[in-house]
Amino acid sequence: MTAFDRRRWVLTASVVVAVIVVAAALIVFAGADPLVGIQGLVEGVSSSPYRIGEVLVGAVPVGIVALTLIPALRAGVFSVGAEGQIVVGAIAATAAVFAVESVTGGAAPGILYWLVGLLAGSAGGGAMALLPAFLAVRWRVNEILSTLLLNYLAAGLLGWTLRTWLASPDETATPQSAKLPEAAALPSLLPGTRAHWGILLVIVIAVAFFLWRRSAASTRLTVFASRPKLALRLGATRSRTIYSTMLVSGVGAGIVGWIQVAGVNERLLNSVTGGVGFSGLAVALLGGLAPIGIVLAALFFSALTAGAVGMQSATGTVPSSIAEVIKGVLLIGVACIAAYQRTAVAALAPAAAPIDAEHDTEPAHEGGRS
Amino acid sequence: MTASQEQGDRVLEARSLSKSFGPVRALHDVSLVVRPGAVHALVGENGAGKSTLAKLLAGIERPTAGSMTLAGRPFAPRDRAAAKRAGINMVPQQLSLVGELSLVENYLLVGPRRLADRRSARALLTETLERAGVAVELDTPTSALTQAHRQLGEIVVALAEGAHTLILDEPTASLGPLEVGGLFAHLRSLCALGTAIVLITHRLDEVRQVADDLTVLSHGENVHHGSAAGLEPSQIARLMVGELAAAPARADRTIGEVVLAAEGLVAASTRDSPLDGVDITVRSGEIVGIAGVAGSGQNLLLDVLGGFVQPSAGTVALAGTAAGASASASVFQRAGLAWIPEERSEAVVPTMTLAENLTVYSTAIGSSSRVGRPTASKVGARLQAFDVRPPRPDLLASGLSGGNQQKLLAARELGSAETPRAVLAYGPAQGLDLRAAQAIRERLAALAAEGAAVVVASHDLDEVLGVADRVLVMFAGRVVADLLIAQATTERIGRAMAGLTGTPPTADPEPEVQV
Repeated sequence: MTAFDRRRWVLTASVVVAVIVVAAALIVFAGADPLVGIQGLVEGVSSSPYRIGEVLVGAVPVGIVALTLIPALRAGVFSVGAEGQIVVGAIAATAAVFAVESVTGGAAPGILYWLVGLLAGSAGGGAMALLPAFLAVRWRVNEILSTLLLNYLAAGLLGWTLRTWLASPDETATPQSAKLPEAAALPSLLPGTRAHWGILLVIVIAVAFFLWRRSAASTRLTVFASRPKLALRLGATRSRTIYSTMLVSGVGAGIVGWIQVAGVNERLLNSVTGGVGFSGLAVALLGGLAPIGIVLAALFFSALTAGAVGMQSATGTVPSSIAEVIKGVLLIGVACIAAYQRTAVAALAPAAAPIDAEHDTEPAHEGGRS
Repeated sequence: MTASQEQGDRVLEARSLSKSFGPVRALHDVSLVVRPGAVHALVGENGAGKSTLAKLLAGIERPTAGSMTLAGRPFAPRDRAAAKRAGINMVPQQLSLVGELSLVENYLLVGPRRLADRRSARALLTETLERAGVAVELDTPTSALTQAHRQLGEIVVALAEGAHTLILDEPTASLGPLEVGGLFAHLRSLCALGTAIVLITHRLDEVRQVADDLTVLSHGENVHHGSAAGLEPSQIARLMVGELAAAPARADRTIGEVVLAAEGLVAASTRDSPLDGVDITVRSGEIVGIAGVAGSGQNLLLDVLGGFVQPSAGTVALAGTAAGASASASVFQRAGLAWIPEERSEAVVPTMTLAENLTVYSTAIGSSSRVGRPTASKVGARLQAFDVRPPRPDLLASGLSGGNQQKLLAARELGSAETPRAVLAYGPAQGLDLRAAQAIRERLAALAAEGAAVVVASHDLDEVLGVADRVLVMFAGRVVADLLIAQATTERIGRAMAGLTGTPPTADPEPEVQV
């Protein structure tokens, strides 16, 4: 284990400790016993099949977003546009499903709805991702900035859509679309829960990325992240890399948009993303860009949300929004780890801990020019 | 107090300075005297120890042996700040001004605390400007100034900090001829006020233009110290480079077809001199050396030849690529172009293991590669063949020392089972000890004997002359000399490197080289 690895584990451990300390402090501050709170948390996650199902349902969108971010993050392309891509994917999927309904007169089989929804969602999310990719390739617009700002554009588009061309014909308290046709809904995987077939999709994607890790493309992206000139020799040009990686994450987010509409809410809502675009980024980093790690991290995030509800009902005083605070602390911690990884790799790379100095004749300071 | 009164007690003298970095001797027994009111030029090849000497004077490094005196009293600055307080300041080659801030604000950043208000800082700078007879805009962000004015601004800030001895590290490297003239005029007027100036430069004609005293370093030793008067640039070049080492015996090689050819290359880069119509032809079995002072366009030329930079005019053709194929780095790689860049950090991936680095082409391009995936035992054998220490395939490349990373790079680019069609190498032996460097030279010669077309660039002239059959000398983005190794005398190359070309003697266009 190198010094770099050791320090990374120390950093990770301190993040975990910080999260526990903050959580305990918040519970005490809210006037509750931390032990009772933890008990409520565990019950909120596991006391009934329905609750276990909720954890799984919550993990699906975060997991897909995080998994499909693997190529971009591996290449050092920091896209934070999943929120907006989910929205556009959801709008496209909803519109496509209603289009199929009107064309077939409501007689379409489920499989057709699912296929069209999946494709439309992918196309919507992918298109939304190609815009910042184009800006980054053509004019070197920072992709963090452009994807972040496009999220606002997408949110505005969603609000407008739900009040105009996809608005529900019924009087509703909040803007929303009409309910999707019964056949378009993703069937439940576990009876008595909201856990739907999207779970299988997560597993498929995770396995695919697990196999992809040893592929030529994966190697090219790793090289691109730190050695762009060498990557050019491998055929990984800047434009090809940015377009392909952002397209993958955009398609993933678009599919999530479809799943949230067809599998969870059964209609398009203003709150379709529920913040999973951002949590997905956190989960991807928390999972160390490894498929198994990401699946576990997604389950952890989802369990935290579900458990916080249990905590609220057990203690009576701790609001369930404690989950968001804890996620926030975790996110900052993960960002620190990621920042450390990026800088440490750069700083340590030239001559990190030379194992053999015996034949190192390079002056430490003289450098190239004098 | 007038300048002349101060001068007598301001002589900076270094006696027998030596500096080693670990086992490496950067400077050995160097003495010099820096006189107030004089420009002291410091010249030498890359790696000759100029920067090390400057850093010792400026307190950035401390000597391993030897001593310095200032005004007759012992001078052993603990750090850069101590040297500054004593009046000795260094202006680095990469200017340290913050681009977003004006000169006044920059001065507030580095100046003494008591001056931490803008008005008095501005007053002091204005006074300094007047004293030095320099006009530089004080209140615009320094990034909006010309390079020459930034340079002057940096000098003015140093003077305002109380410097009486200025060390300028290649101040003219990024200036045009007119700007250089202007800078020198200002340096002379500073000298007239009693300032001592140590001028590090690569351009030997500048020595004649501006220097009073001259120190020439070669391989860390002082080979000339005294008046600069009466020395011709060609004489200085001879002092710098020394007599050519006897070229190692060369095996007969058959010079064959043209493998790599470029015509009329024009390209620009922020890091190097723009290429201005460069032609180069490299034949199978031939080793072409590219010499020149750093920043003469060699780096950009290799980038264009490697397919990394597309020229704005001109063509690059590599045998084995389809006539219509784009001249991209990946096309050239697949056609068998080996690549060792000047910065090895561009080519070695620190987060990958030695084995992964070694096999990156086959793993990242997949089965379509010319070379199959090497097996684990082959990887270990290749690491050992190139003396990579330790030869552990599963070690991360970041765990290797710099020299061993260079060997790893050579093992990947020069050690594959198939002979590369062409080799582009910039300083392939940099950071290597003599034995390892010799092994790389022998490997390059062996590849040429097997039919590869080899290009070796380096700012270490010995590295080029030790292996090349033909030497191209670059200056300011052009090839100013094309010499067969037999014609490549120190004097000719030295003159060409300094841009002193009348009509450079060129090699026979159809070289019938008996090497």
